Amino acid sequence: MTSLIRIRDMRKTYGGNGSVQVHALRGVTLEIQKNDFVAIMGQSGSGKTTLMNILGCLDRPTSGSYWIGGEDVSKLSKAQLARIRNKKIGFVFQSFNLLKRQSALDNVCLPLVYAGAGWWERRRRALTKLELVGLADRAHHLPSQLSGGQQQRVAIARALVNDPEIILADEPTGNLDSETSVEILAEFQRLNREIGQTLIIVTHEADVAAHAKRIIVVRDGQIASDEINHHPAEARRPAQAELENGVVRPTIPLKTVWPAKVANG
Amino acid sequence: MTFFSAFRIAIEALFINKGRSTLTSLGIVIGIMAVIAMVAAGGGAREKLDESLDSVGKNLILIRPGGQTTTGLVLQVVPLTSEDAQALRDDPELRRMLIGVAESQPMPVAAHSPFGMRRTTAVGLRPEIFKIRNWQLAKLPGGAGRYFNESDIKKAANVCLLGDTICRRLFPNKRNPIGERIRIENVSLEVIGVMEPKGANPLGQDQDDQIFVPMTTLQNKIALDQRIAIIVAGVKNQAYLDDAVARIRKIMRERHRLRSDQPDDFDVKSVEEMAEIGVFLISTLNMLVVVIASISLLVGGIGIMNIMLVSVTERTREIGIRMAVGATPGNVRNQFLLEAIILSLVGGFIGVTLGIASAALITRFLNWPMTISLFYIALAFSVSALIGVFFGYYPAAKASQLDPIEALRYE
Repeated sequence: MTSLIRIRDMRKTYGGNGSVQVHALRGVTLEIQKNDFVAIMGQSGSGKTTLMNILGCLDRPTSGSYWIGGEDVSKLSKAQLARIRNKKIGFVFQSFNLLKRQSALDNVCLPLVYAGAGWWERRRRALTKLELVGLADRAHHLPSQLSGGQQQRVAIARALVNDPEIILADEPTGNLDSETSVEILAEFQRLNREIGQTLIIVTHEADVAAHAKRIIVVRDGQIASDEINHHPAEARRPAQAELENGVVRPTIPLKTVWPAKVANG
Repeated sequence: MTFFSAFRIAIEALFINKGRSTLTSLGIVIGIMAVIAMVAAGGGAREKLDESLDSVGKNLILIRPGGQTTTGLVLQVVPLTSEDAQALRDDPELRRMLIGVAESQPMPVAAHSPFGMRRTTAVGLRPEIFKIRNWQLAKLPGGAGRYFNESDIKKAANVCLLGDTICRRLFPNKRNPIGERIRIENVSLEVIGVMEPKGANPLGQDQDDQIFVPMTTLQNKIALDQRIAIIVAGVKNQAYLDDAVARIRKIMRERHRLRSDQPDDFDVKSVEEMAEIGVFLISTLNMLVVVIASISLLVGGIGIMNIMLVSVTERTREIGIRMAVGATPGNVRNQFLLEAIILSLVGGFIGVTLGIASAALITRFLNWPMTISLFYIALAFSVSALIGVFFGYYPAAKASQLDPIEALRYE
């Protein structure tokens, strides 16, 4: 099986031409398989943010190659990178980054707007993803009317809506309390397990990283360690806990809301 | 990204700042309104001028006493006489080019009929005038009557022709006053006909509130004065106009014994030439409004650019989010460009509407026709759209060049 992501000797240098050069990445080589759940850890200044920006096609490496699903994206133009982000990558940010004046549904629709989908198509697919994260009944709420956990789940639905190859989450639990953090991590684990979503989480918290199947540590712009986590921590969804405690909450069976992914193979 | 979704995003963004958007487009509204109002009202004025010129006749030459400088200053008044007019009539070269030459002298008078007294104008005329001006007798029940003729002039006959307005005032209940007598300054005159209505002249005077009498009757019996106010000549063909004016000038200078270094002591102009002043005035006024409106549009455009720059800064994070989920620089640029275009187009639409409304008001007040061509409305919209593109491009380009990483970090 070929790797979903292949990075060869990637370097990123800031500055130069008179000013002091900063070597944020000093030769990173990395492969990530489909269906993997990877945590990238590192202190601030380690280069993990730079790595994430390049992985997310928000930035281009100074040298080295970067392949996503067989396509070299290291030398694409801004517009071409935008198209890759739209089709192949879903972002989840620490501060959610939802559009404040748009409903949850419209926020989830956003990537489809730039994919050129029609109005009905957008709403249909966005609602499916909102159902997937258990927020179908909050579709018309504004972000300000939702809790932090709910907002992050809207962001996850938005990241999923174009059926991306990879979801890239940058400190996704950084703005959440511990209980809600577990809820979000449970959501990630479920997506990884049930629909085979490839996930990359960038974090500085070991607790969070412990939920991943593979942990990469970045230090001084290089990969310091890259290990399989044989026993990922199990995040339990509060919903399951509530069900077990006798609190009934509607849950949607994944099979019925995921026909698109199955059909696409 | 479809055009419709880009349009929806732009509309939503503008609606979030309703007040600001409205104020921003105000500059465009005022500029477009001024242009449309002026074009509509000015077009009406020109049409009105044309219309009244047609009623006077474009092939007329007017000779008036007193030379004029180019600025219109009257230099020296030497009265015109019937002999001057006769000399023009007798010139064989002019005879070839002219329908006729007729002198005329108006005089304010009180006219009495069996039904009362009216103040009006008595005009002494030569019979040639009817041909020159193409004035027709009104068709009345029981016969149209007749014009006065050369023999009436010779006899200084006590006859008159009534204008439509004064006829209805002097004989309110009489449909055919021919044969009736009226009295002007103790001279009793027989009504021999009524003129077809002619309407107002370019100065707005009612041409039907006049009583026409033979020139000699006015001079010798009513006014007791030989002066004449104006000599009117009509050319057979507009092509003769310039030649005829030159010839008349030459004859008049000879008759008035002017040396070559002396200026004219009379004024010869074609009606068309005189109308040019009016046309010039209207065009100048239009130009002035266009200049003012252009300044307003420029200021309005700068206002749009300013607000769009503020908007781009305010929405840096939104731009970052959009870019992260797949908006290309082109998508972002188009979105902001579309906002600017919608702002100025809405301004243009309101401006056109208000402009037509105020033109309707002005023209109604001045009793002009209002003409507004689709061309100017289309032009107004195109100009608004162009302003949107021109002044919206820089902010939009700035937005599109944002770095998504920086934009996402922006607080």
